[in-house]
Amino acid sequence: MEQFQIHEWIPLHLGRLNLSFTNSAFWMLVAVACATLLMLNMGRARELVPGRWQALAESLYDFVAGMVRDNVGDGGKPYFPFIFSLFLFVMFANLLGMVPLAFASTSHIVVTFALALFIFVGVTVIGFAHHGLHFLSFFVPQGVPAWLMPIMVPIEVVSYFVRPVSLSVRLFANVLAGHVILKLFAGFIISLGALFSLLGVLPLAAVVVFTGFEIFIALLQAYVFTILTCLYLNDALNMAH
Amino acid sequence: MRDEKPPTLADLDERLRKAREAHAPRAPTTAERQNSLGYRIIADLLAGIIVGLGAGWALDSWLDTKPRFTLVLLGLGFAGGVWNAVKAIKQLDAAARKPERRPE
Amino acid sequence: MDPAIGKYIGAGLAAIALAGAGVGIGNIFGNFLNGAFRNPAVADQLFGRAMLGFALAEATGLFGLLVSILLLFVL
Repeated sequence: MEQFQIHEWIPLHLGRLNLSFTNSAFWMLVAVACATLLMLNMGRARELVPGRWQALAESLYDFVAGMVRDNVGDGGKPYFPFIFSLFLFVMFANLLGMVPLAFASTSHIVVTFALALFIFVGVTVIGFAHHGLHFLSFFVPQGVPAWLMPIMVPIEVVSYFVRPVSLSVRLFANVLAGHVILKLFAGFIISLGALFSLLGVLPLAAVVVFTGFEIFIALLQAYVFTILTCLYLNDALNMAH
Repeated sequence: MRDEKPPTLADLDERLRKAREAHAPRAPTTAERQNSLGYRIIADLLAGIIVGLGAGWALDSWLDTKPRFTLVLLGLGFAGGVWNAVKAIKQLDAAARKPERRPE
Repeated sequence: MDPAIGKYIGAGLAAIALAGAGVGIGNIFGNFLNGAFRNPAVADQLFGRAMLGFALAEATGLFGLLVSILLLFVL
């Protein structure tokens, strides 16, 4: 469990506030730097037949643009830069966590909950700014008889407020569980493989396979985080409920 | 001791015209215009966050209740920033859509 | 009973939630295969939605695993 320990690299305490530069902050900065470098430098080439990096940048852009177009519709175009940055940040933060000796910044609930909370507040404000107080009719589902309303509306409200929690815990639990299991199997290699026994190969194979699976999960969780944000944004912009 | 002719009025006029052209304000290109629109929306968001943070901090230092008002007003400031940004987006959307609707 | 024993028992019981995750994921991919065999043309589009469904079903199972890990290492 000490792989999830936060180390303060540059301590900075203002009174009771702890604003130190930690290893988590460093790896989040590296994720942002990777995303920036990828899109600025590799996306700058404008050849008609793209080279490898330009093709990667273009395909990522196309992928997220298609996601926003399909799930939010035309009114979601102003929010595309945010969704794209979100996707790139979560993807790189997850992938960098898989690098040996690096730190998975999304394995802390505070990081994912901050992301999800700001998304939730932002999407709610967007809903109110677009529809005014009519946005509150989102909690009243259509075609429900009036006597069922006092039960349905609180259920809808609670399920709306559960959204940031589920969004953040999904990402956090996936990354945390993956890293804990990897550490566990790696420990088995040592204990089974000690003293020239060949049994240590089995947990080694398991670690290799599971690392591949974790990389897939890192990409998938970034995709799911982004597409759920698009769906929540769609709920706020076009209240189709 | 003058080695060269003094500049004629026509020469001076030419130099003046060239200098004015170099410093005249040009119309912004499409890319520059879109860049500035993007920065305007970012400025709205950041202004909301900074004002909320600053107001929360000031209120906390005055009332000595350290993190509460900072966090609450940070959240409210963020919400206000998003509100302003969305209003700006809607205004830009309407302005961009107007030429299509004008009957020709 | 020693509270530490209760923690370990609770951690073991909370991990049972992963059975629901397994059932849900199997359900989702079974239906995906069904749909992909009937209509191979839209299989790619279907795969995107299947991945979304997989992540959502896994999430509920992982909430249970999270309680288990919380009991073991945090509380």
